Amino acid sequence: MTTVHGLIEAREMTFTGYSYALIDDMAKREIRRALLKAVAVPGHQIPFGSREMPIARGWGTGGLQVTLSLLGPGDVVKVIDQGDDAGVNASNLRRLVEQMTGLDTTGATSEASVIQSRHRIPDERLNERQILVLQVPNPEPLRAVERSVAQAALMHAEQDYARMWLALYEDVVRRGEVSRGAGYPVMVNHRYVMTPSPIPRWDVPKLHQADALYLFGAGREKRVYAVPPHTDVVPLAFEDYPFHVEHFDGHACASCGSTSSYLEASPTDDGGLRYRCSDTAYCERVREGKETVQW
Amino acid sequence: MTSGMPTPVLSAPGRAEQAAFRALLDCMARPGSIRQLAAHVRPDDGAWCAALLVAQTLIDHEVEVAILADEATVERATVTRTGSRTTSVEEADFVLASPAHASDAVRRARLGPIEAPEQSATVIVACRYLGQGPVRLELSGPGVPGTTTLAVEGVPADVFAALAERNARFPDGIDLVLAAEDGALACLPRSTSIQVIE
Repeated sequence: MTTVHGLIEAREMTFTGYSYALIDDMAKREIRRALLKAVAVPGHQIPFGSREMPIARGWGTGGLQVTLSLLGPGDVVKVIDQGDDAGVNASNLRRLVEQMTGLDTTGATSEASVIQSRHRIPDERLNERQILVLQVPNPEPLRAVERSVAQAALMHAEQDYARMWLALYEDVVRRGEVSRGAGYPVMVNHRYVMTPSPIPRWDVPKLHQADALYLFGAGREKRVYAVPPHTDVVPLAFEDYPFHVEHFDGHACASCGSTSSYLEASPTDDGGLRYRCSDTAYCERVREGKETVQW
Repeated sequence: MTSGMPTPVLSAPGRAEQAAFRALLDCMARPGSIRQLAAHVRPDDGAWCAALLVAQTLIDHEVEVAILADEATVERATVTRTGSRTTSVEEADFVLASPAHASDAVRRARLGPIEAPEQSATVIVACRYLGQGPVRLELSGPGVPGTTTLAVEGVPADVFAALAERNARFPDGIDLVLAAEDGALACLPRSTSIQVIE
């Protein structure tokens, strides 16, 4: 039976001034509708009503809104920035998620159900129970060759990627290879050209026929898109100038000794370069001698 | 926790919708796979329990819905729980259809313009069982490693033949949600190739 005491208690429990996971029910519903359509049309950008977030646009608001619309009891969240769980951006987003949901967060890739990331896909293999949410600064792969949003949409509709191919060809002529590093353009499901967000080329093959679901959120540009599991994702390349990932000239991580992860070089005092794992969680696992499942 | 602020609480309907959405997302990303919804919180909904929970999860006053069902209760429940307006099948963002009307719904539901194929309708069909039944569908495409089979009971085979026909020109197409009376859920997005096995 309803009691006055019970009502007061219920009010005290729920009155925080915020909705669960920060964004309100209507906003969540709208993002959820967009995400389902994004999954149904792999690689196609879907507009959504990107809401004002308590962080600045360009700092992961798209990814954050996608993440918050997913979360519920039982989820374990991991947030990474350039592979680093301790980055300032990642730490702030993680704290916001904790405060607004009360969910557990983790650094361990294999323990997370939802991973929000900026510019990296973890070096530990993702499984079929995991969703990776990538923050996207510019969702339009055709932006460099077509400034008009409407025209670019029409080019996608007609699968007219001639100017994209021309740009890649000119790149090969000028530099001897497709020089694009971060955000290498890919063909999704043999239909849409998509930017995988500014991940290194090293991470691009991880999108192809994966076990996990990939969701992409661009807050400033108000777009979401997706790559479902077990979907063909092929980097754009020429037969005689094939796609290749970064190589590190036989260097190993200075911390864990790994030669099979993405390494970042930093200058040392004596003018040389020191290589370290970009994925700090992976690096830590290797150092602790724990098993890692790689791609 | 870094502040003394209490954590916002997820309401019971909010919890049901969040769980239903995750099941939908999983089913849409993995066509042919079946997830179970906790749809029995409203026993009066009967065979429509899962379909109405899906409707409540995705539909609100920002979208329009069409109802193709003989039971008047379905339309009443949908409108009161979602705050949505009803419209014709040809114009609706979402179509809720009973098995008898599912073929009609699939044939008439809206497609999006060429630049915005996502503006096509999502059709939600109430069915009896998933994972067993006389209609067997062989599925392939994004989300399916190789091919997979989905068995459906309570929906005529011609619904899926009509769906395959409407979804023949990807990215044009409509997305189908099957919601069983025991709360089971499966999705057939437009990206899925469907072969009806007799």
